[in-house]
Amino acid sequence: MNTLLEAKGISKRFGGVQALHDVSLTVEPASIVGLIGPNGAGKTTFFNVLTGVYVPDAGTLTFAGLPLPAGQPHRVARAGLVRTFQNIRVFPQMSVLENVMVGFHGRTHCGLLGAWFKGPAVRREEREILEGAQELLEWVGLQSMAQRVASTLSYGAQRRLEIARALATGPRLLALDEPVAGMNGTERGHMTELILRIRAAGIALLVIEHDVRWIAQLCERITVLDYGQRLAEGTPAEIQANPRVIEAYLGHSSHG
Amino acid sequence: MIAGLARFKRLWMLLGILILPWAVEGLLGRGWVRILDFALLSVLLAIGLNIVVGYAGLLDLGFIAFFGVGAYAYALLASPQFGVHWPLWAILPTGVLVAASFGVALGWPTLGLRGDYLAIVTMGFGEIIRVFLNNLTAPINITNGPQGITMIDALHLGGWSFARPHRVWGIPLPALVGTFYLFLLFVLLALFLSRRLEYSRIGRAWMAIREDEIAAASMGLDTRRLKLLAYALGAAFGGVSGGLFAGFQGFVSPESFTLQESVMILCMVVLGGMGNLRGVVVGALLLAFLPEVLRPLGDWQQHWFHHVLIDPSTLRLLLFGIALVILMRWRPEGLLPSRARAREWHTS
Repeated sequence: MNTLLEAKGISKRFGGVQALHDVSLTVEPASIVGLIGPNGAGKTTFFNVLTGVYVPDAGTLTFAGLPLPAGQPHRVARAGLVRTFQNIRVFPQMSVLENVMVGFHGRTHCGLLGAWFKGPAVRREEREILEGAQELLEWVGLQSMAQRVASTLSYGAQRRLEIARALATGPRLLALDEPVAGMNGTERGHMTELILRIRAAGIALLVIEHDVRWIAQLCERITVLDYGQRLAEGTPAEIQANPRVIEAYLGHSSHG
Repeated sequence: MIAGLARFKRLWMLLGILILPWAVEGLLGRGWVRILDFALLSVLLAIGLNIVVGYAGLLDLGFIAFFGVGAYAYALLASPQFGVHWPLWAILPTGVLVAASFGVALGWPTLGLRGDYLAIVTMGFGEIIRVFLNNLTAPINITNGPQGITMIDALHLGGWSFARPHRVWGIPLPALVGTFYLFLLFVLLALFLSRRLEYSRIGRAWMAIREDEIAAASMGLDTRRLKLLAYALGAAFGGVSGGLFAGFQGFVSPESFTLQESVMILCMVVLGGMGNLRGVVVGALLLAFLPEVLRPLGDWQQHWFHHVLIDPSTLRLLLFGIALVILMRWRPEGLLPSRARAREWHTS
């Protein structure tokens, strides 16, 4: 199978801070890859470069054989690489259902004239968006909250809503930025189950996480970042046994 | 059954609106029908600005510029200024195109801006347009400067002039009432188009951009294009209103398009309830009428105190300001807010 995502030698500097230096990473189709590292290691910066929020100073990004458009988040999303955010960014005053319906924007077509004349094709498309959104809400277990205002949902439910909205875009790679941060054991279990179901649907996942034990039982491969550089890459077992990783990352986290 | 009743309610409302100018003329006099006609143009403007501010969340403080562009487009294409006299059906689409192009041209440089910064830049653009209208007199005299353009052709369709009274099925139709119906037609069309957009893929996308632009872009929304579309559409509605204004008044000059007017339209949208069409219409009507209702303040003072204590025009603005402050203090979300706006103010 061809590699789905290939990031090669990504560097990004903010003024005097080298946030990323020569970072490489690959994701195979329908696999789960973990991205770990201490706070400030550059994980979220890497996500932002990946999804077009930042333009990298150096390096190449190839997705499904094509270069990813740098600095154009909407085109990255339409190419099939979609993300969630570390600090949840649902559309707070829109309903849960509307949030997911927005996700369908990139693969639907109704324009100005379509909205005005509302012909049969537009009606059909609207019905498909509505049904698709309801299906996705059911899939993540939020169907009973479809009409609620997004901001009134619990933290865990908002995370699931973000994932449903991202799935609505029809991604081939879903990038999750700390999907279980601040969650208790039960909620983590639900998230694990959801992530595995997403993978089973043929969608690859790239997951940022602090909790090494949680990510180790989830991923096929893990990349470790430290001070903006790639410290190690390997299977969860290799990573957990790597002395450099233990020193740089696991050692710190077990004390703090 | 309920749908049937609702349809009936609508029918009654429409009938009421159709009778309104006659009632106003009978009860209050012809002057008030003229005010009513101007109020409809304000409603049209507010519906346009609502697309930009209410739907897409782009704070625009220079919106009156598009009204001005539409008005001057009509004035130049139907007056002795250049000696051209286009018919209405040709001028309005031209005005729409010109205004929409201005919307895109002025929107383009502001795409990266939000909130306060956007407001300041749009305010600057609004003033630039006004200054241009004031000064485009050399080397070719286009706008005729501060004197403005006079003797603009009256609104007419074919042989039917809206500036003259007519007789329809034996019933005399005063010019101002005929104009009311013409403007009403445009307002209803604008309401229809606006409503269709609100509940469409594009309306949802605008709302998403308003709520969180970064998240919206990350979900595959081309935020630049969508924002430009909002600017262009809002400007187009403003341009139509401006064109009708020029034809109705028969005269345009730059002083009709000042910052104060931009602020006034914004007040209409905010006060009525951003994002909610019904609220916007109510807000526009209210603010169009309030200053007129307060006009006889001098007479009232004369009547109560036997002499005028405070200059009526000053007092009028003072009361107007106080009314705005009170309203915004007690109902910050506007008179008839959209669902989302009401929640913003009352959930946290």
